Amino acid sequence: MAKRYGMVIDLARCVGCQTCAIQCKLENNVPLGLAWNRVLTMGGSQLDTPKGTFPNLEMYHVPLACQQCENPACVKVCPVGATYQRPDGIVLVDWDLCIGCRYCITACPYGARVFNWGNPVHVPDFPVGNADVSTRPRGVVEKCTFCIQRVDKGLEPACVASCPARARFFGDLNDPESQVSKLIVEKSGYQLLPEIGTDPKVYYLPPRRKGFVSQ
Amino acid sequence: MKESGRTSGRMSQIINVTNAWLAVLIAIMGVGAIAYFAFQFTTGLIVTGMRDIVVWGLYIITFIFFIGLSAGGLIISSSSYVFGAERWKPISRVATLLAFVCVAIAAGTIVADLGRPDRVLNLFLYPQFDSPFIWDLIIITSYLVISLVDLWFMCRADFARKRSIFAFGTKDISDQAVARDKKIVKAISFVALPTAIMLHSVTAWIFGLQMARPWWNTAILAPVFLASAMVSGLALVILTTLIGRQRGLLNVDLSVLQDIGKLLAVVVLVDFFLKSTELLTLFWPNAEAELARLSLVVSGPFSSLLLIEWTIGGIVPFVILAYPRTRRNALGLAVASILLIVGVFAYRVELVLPGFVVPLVSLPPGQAVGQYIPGVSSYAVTGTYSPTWVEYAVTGAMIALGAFIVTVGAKIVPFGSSKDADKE
Repeated sequence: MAKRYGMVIDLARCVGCQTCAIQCKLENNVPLGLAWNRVLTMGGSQLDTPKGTFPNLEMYHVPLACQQCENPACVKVCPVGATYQRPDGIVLVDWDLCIGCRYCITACPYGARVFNWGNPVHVPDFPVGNADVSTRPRGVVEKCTFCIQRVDKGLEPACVASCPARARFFGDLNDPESQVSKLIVEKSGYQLLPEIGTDPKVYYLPPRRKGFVSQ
Repeated sequence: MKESGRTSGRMSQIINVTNAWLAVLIAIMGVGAIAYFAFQFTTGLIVTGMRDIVVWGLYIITFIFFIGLSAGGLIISSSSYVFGAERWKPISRVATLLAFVCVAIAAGTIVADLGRPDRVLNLFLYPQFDSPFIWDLIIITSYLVISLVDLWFMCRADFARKRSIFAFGTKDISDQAVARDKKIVKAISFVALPTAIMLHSVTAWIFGLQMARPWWNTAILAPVFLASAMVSGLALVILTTLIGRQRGLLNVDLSVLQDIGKLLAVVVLVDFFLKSTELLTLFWPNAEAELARLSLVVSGPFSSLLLIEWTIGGIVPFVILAYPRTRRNALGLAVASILLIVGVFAYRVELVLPGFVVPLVSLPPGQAVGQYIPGVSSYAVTGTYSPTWVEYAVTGAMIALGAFIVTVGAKIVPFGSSKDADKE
């Protein structure tokens, strides 16, 4: 059976350290003001703040990037086929084809896509990260690629490899014996916004406290 | 002698006023061209007020607004053939010209909105037919072709009679040829009317099919688009015809416009019925998500737009059109038309922007907005948008271009005296 790459993020293990967000930005040479991967706080109204009053506080973190949907809304709306799905299920953007209409950004329920409104800015002013990631021009959409430059070489995506809390897992969803498949089944993995019908290949394992699941 | 002197004086007056008007339009287009080519084209969409979260702004609002404004055209000219509304024939030419211009402007704003306008041909080279954008491209192209061909066949005999270059070499002005033209126009009408309906529906589906935007994601959006398009479209036809009459370019009886005014009043009712159905469906269940969406337009930053849409853009013009005494004079018709166009524009803003402001996943710190400004967070939980001068200038230039084509078109297209209309 063909491979179907997926990711599992264990919210009970995530400590909200933002390492994956920073590592993603470095690895993929993401320009200033843009982010492919971010770690959101489920709790109060500010980053890293809980909800409730002491001692009844609740908080956990939700790392969010492209959900690599099995039924991607972004691919369907792209008028020129610049956003497409690889046979292994990874959704990518062709920066040489994109016309910059931003229709895919409106179609994405997760806010996972970012746009190069001007010329990409880098500080310091040279490309960083993986040499296999191409530089993008002004006026195109970009987003998480599941680090194809690493995955195609048999490595894990940068966010998975760098997670200090070992909250992230990567593997083949088509293989019922893979670590990700087992985790989803054993720990009741769930998808974000399942009602939208996009069928993400990123699964979340619930934070430990009962009655405090998803949004 | 005295008579002709007065006439030529009046003629030169008309030409002077027209020239001044054209000069103003050219100036506006010039500013827009500078804004686009010297700023947006060379530095990117960073010069607009759009950022991630609110990724569509004034350009897309203008796009759907102009698609809507085109509705009067083919609907009036086609109805006069398909449903035999003979009395509307005198304005079918101006209506068709308006339809063509409005759709052309709409297509222009789409190009202005692209981050890579240099790759616009990709739309034709690599079309992806699942995308409602491509459906819209197909229907817009068809609509432009149909309205232009329709207009030409309406006017061909007049062009030939005047030996105008726009006759494209056809010289036949025999009764047979005129009858053949009429048949062709009638045949086109049967295609044009469904095309016009599809144009508004497909434009609505660009928004209405998006599950990620609950504010847009409603099956009633296409009917609402059709109704609101007819409101603004018919209002534009009435307004333009009134101006044409005033300038002595059109010889149309006011009673024809009153007829259209009456139809307009009915369409306004239908439009507001459909919109109320949608608002009630959001309000009644008292469900958190729906109420949150509704509160954006009812009590939030967009509430003034809703107020404009329903009062001075809805109830007031409706009363003017429904009340015979105000409907029967040119001023009443003009005021009602302007107010309705304003109301429909408010609706367009209110449809596009609230769809973006609160993303489905809006947890702190939010998402990156796409620009780093020292001292300001690059992240935002909810979106904000206000257009920049570049967007105003480019949009203004688009509108000026439309007005320019209509003004010049009024000199080329034989809108006709009543005599032309009779012969048609």
